Amino acid sequence: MANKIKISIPWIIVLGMYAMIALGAGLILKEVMADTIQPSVTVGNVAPTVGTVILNGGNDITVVENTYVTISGTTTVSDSNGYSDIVSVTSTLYLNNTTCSSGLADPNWCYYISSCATSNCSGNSCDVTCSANVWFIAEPTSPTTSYPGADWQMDITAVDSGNNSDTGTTSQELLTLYAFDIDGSINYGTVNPGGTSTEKQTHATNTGNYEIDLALSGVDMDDGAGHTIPVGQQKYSSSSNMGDWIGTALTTTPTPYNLDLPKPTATTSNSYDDLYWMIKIPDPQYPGTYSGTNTVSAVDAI
Amino acid sequence: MRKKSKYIILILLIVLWGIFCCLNIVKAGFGITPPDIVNEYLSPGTSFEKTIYLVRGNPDEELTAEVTIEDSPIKDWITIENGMMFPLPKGEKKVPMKVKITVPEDAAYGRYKGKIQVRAISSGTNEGQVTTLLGGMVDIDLTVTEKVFSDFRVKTISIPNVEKGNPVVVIVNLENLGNARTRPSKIHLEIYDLSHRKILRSADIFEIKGWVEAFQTGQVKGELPIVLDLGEYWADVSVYKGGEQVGFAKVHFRVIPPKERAVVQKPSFLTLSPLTAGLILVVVLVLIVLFIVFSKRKRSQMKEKAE
Repeated sequence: MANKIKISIPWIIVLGMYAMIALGAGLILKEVMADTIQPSVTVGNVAPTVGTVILNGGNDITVVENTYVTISGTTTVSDSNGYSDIVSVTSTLYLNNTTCSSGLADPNWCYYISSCATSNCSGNSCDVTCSANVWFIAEPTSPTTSYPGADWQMDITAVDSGNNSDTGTTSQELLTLYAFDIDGSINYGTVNPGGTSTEKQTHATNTGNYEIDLALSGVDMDDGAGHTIPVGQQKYSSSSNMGDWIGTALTTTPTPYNLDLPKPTATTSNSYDDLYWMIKIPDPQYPGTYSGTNTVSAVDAI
Repeated sequence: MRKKSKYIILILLIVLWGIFCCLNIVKAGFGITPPDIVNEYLSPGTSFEKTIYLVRGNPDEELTAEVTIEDSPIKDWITIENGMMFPLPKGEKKVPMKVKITVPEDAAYGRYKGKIQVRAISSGTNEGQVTTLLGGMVDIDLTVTEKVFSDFRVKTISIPNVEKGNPVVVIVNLENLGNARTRPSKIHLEIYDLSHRKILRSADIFEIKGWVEAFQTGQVKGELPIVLDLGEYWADVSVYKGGEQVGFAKVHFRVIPPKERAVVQKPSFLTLSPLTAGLILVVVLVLIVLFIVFSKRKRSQMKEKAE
């Protein structure tokens, strides 16, 4: 019996080894078979998804006088077919009581962004940033403006290789900007006591996004030696015909003057008006060179 | 010849005069935005801050902003955090001016108005002429009331990436417009798959963490315990004030491996692919077979020699 067992041991070992070889071969074969069988499936093109846009960091939009500022909106775009399936991301930033597209672009209310920047692309999604240079003439939407119920809206649209698309959106208020510039100096020249100067012309330009008037004030002119010319001796007018000292007398407190500078509608401001100045020298008045400071401030239209 | 050059010089002078005197050249303007501070829901003893931007499109020189608060019953309520004189640096198109309004404890209920004038002053002086300074007026319109007013505006909604096993956290950034501290009454969350087609979970979060004080901007959070597989997801988040939906966002987030488990694992037999494991098994067995065959042959040779 012991001899029989002794004879069987090698056979058992050999059979065991065959079994293990078969197992190993089976595992290999399974993989090889997996490679050789070619199942067929068509993966559909799924539309991309665009998240809600964060415009200007969630803050109100402020513009800068007589120029533009870059305003950005960000979001995330994903596509189940992989982020590389997204072929274009475009955007519009516009006053949302109007419509906006590439053909309707207007710096007063519609900015079209033909290509947005992508970043942090991984897996199936990318971060997207869309930027527009917004001009100072962009319509404000504060409660006291012409569009109190409207906002500035940014739409970001992603399109994939199958021409499927999705749009994310958000809106923010664009704040009112009172701004202007005065061009030209006021140098009355030499005027004798009791005499009046000629009209001196200055040119006021509205460089904001809202209709304004100007508030004017000044201080007494002085010669640095204790002699003064009262502030009220200066007068101003929007008319060039000040005759012999016709106009509004300057005061020390800012006084609104109805100059009517409407909201400009072109990026090279098309809202301007002339402001004329004249001085009457009191009689008697100590001779000398007198200097002064006048202040012009933008105020709400009267 | 001499006459001709005289004509050329005259024409040049006329052109230069035209350029410098008659064209509408806007050199250095000044503006303020927004031009007003309005608050209709102030309680006695409260305070709030508002930022007014002083803007210049062509800030080619440093100027000084000079602030004057006009005489009015609320003059003492107003503080300019920058000081009454502060620089408008060269190259800075927007300079923030922080205005703080503090309502005294004994302020009577009612409406109050005031004005702040800001002038941009240049260091240069022109002797013998009138210097024109540009400025702007900020209108202040305040109402002190006994009414408690609660309102807020949702600024942003976000969901940071979630470590697997941790709850989904919704962060709501909001601006409190009222005179009492506030937070949303509810955040409703719908979690979708990557294609934003299949809804995976819908839930209301009532337990909101944090408050935003009166007239401040701040964050509150809501958490939803949910176990999601690793991957990318979308969530539709609705923010409620009472029964009214006041904010909505479609937000993307990822579920990422927990940091402590994200260490590099040592390879083990179980982690090998079936193909590799099979090959190793076959090679080992072939070596064993060869060893047995050789040792058997050696033994039989030794047996033959002994015989």
